Amino acid sequence: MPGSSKKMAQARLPLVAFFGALSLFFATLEYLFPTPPWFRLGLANLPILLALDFFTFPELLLLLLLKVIGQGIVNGTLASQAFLLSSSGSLASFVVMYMAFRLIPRGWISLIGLSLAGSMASNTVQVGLSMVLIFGPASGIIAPWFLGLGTLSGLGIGWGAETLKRHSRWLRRVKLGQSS
Amino acid sequence: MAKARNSKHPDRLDALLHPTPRFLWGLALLGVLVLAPRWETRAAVMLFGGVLATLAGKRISFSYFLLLAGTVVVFHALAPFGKVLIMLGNFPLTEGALLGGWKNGLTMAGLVFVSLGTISRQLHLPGRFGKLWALTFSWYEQLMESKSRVHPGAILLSIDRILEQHYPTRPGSSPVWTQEQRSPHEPTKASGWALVILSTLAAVTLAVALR
Amino acid sequence: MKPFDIVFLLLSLVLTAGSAWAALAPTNAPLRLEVQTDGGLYTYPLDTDQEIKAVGPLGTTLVHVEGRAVHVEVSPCANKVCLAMGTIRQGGQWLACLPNHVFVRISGGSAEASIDAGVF
Repeated sequence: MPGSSKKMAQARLPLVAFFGALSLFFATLEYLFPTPPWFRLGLANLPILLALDFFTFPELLLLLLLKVIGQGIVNGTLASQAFLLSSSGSLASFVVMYMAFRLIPRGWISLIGLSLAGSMASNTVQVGLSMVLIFGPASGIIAPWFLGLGTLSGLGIGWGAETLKRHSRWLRRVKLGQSS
Repeated sequence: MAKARNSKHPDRLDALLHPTPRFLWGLALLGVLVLAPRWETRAAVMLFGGVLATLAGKRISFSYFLLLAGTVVVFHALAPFGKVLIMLGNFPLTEGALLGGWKNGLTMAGLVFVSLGTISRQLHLPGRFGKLWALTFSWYEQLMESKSRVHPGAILLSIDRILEQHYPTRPGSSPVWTQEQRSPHEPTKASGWALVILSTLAAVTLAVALR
Repeated sequence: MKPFDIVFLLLSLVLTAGSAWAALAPTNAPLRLEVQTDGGLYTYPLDTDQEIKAVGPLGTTLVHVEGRAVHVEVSPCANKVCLAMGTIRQGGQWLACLPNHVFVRISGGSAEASIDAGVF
């Protein structure tokens, strides 16, 4: 029936909102993992990775928007260059992750690979924008550091997401609840 | 640069200003910051931004500003432009590159400070997305209250428990997601409007005068 | 790890290594424009189109940079020899307006020494 699919979509909005809140919450847990200054682990991406296989594309976009704007408001950086960099990075990361998720057969890639792909895209875009807008052309020297650290964090986040996916009973119940 | 926890460092501007005019005020100051031709104007806005950020309860440090502006200046200096001030071996240190870097560094620091001072956590977003954001933020605050129950030693289990508490999924339970209605924020006080109008006028006047 | 996990890991490492090579590989010094006037030595990147005003005792000599080529557009000198010198493009080539104490040179390309202090 035409009306019921809209109702179902509406009923899932709170779940999207909760994943958005998770994204912001996980970002604050980054202090538990030591990293050099200037570099963020990207734990906020974990909920997006987890949601890839059971949120629809519009829901994922909404989640992305909540994550990006939410971080800007919660951290107070909404009106600064940090927001521009992180939102561009997040968008690039999402596009690449979603494309990889849809194009590559399920058994051939895990959340680790998706996370690595997203991390590459995000860091490339952020380094590029930093060079153009902030540091100037001579700052290409920061690229290998960011891309290298990004590879490590991509591995870490991907591994963390896989672990949660396999062992989180809460997540399992959420997925079951959504499919019934 | 550490961000403030509300209990220790209250947002003093919150009592004076409604989040929406506060946000628009921020955008106006940012406009001056980005468009002002002279570095002196940008420095003034940046310093004012620092004051605002401190009043908003954010802890900002001089060393953060030095690091940010310093890195920007150094990278710009690596692309020489304009009058050669001194030759460092075979490399020209130029006035144009240093000035460009200094201006850019001031702008970057200013953007961060003004943003920290004028973006309130209570910022209300319009429309249906705004409602969704309000729900998200409400859950975020609840999750943050449980943060101390995240045990690094048993991180998966502790997180799972927290998630179940705030978004119950066990059979027979359902998430309580109608968040408590917040009382609407107080409107901007007269002193708040005075601050907004005077500071914006001052910034614009300075930018025009120092053209 | 699954096959494409490894693919993306390798891609990531290649990208990192590639950016390191691009950033650190020794390259020839990029071509730069040096303008010497009574007011001092000025340097500009050659790959940016721009108009440079070189101020001397007679007035302003306008140096035009476009498409990595340089010529004198306007000069206040009487004989306009500097305009007749045409366009320069390569490292080591130069233009001069002696009456206005303006000397323009392209440096770089193959580790050339910078301009010595000019004496007019």
